[in-house]
Amino acid sequence: MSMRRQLYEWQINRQTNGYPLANPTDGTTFEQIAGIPISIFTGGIGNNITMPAATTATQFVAIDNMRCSPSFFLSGAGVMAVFNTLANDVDVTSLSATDTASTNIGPGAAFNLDSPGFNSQSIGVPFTNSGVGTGGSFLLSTNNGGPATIYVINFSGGTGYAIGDTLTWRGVADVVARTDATDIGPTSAADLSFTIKAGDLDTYVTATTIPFTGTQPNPVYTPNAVNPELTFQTTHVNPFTSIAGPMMFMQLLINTTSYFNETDGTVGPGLPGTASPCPESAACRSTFDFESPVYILPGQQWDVQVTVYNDSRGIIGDSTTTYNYSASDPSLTVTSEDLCCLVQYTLYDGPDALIATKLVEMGIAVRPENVDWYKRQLLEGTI
Amino acid sequence: MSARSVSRLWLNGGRYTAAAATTGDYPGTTGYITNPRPTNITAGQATDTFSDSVGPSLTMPTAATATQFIVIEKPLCSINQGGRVKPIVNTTAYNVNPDGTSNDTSAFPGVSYPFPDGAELNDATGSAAGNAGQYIYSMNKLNQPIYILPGQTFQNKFIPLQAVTGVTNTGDTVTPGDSVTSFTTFSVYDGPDALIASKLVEMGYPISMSNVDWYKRQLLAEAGGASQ
Repeated sequence: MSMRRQLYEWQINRQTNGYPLANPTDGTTFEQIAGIPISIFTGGIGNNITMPAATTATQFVAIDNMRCSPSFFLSGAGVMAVFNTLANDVDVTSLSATDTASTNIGPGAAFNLDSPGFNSQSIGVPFTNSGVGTGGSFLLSTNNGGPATIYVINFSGGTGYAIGDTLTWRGVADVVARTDATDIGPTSAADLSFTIKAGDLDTYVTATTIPFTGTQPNPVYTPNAVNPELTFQTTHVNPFTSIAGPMMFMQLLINTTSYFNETDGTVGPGLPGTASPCPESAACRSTFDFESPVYILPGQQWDVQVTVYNDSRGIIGDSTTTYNYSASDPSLTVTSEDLCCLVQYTLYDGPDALIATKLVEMGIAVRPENVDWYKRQLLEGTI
Repeated sequence: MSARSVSRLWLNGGRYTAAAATTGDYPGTTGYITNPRPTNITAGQATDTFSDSVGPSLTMPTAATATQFIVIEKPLCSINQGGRVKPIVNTTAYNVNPDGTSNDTSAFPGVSYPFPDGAELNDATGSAAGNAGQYIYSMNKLNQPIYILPGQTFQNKFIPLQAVTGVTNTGDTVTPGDSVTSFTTFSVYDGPDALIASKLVEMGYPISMSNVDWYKRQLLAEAGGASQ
């Protein structure tokens, strides 16, 4: 006799045994699963269990809640706001603890990041320049006034600089510890490098279109020094659909019957993650509840299938890029996308399962408190 | 006999064609497709979110069969483009103004009934990139749900007050479009449960699964069975 609240969590970036995938090439591409329902129990993708979910003759299951990855539906202006904001973002988020002794960034520069009141320091002219720009003044400054952990390179003046030009300074080996920085980081030619983005140029005009490669209808959006990795909340933006997130649905199947039917009698993909999100955040709260739990009677088989319709990987449209892709190119900072599904249910076993079945016959919702109520009625001899 | 909580998600995503890529007029589809392209909707154009020519459509207009009783609980929609939804039962619009008239603006606005719950109003200002935004939350569920009685038809019209622009691409650049959506949650009572729901309406009780269960228990008690 028992009643237990159970939870099953599925993630696409897991091995069958539940541990994270180790190799990006072991992951799943969008093209492999687009529009195809996948069982979170035995679908062969992500963590799985050894056999289909089913109740034994002495078990009764009540599905309490289902959640999956949310999506956000953006306006075109919203997508461009994401693009322009991130294209202007040239910050560095970590520098080494030895910064305080550094005084030799660039010819003639004096530099002490952690000194009280530090706001900005000139770092002189670049040692090398991959483009044809000349002149200008360059400042390394704290983003919000020092001391801070966010540092930015700003420059003004100069002519001929272009987006994508890489500038370097020497003599700062002990300053920049970060090895994966897109904009500032050690290179073989110099100790500090900086790649110019759109927002760095005085003549920069807010972009109204987003570049892509490939051909329609399968374009590819690849983040690089000019194109930012488009992210909104905790997920990636697909600039071709204006949807951030996987547009993920989940369907509950009991034996061969789908729970979420359309009003015309057809079987749809089910409940969207945006209505029942995991994780639930300030920007996306749950708007769907089972008013009455869904019951899996003794001896029935059940399953939860998820379907995704929007390509929400960091690199979009590339059929070789998996969901757990991590950039091998240090100039890219593309992060992986995770898809998850979570099912919460109550498992009644033994006599409790019999009581649950009796409650169903009586038209009483099967909940732990009602099962306990029925037991009390039995003990009191009123039933 | 059944009572189920179900839902309907609609968005203005259509199927890619070369011609549509230059105009933003992507054809609607039957059911959902992968990577749906946002399509044009003119300001004030009403689109049935169940069965229409824009976005994913069902195969027939929504109606409660003779053995069904449907309760509409939450009509939600995008906050983008002045989005709002207008439920229509048979030919009667749900929302009317105090003077008895009904127009495009007398509907449920997305800013009061947003989807998702917590949508950001200021995504055009750059806060969409992950900074703290102005989250918009739903006011509440409908105090009095909308009942679709057996045999009645139901439409849920999405109406943008500003034009919705489809995605276009020229050369090697793309101009993102406006993705708008509507989400409706409802309960479908079928068979004997629909009869009980109709009975509850006659009795003046709100229709909910707990009330339907309560009525069943009353029937069982009258028949001599166990009752709570």
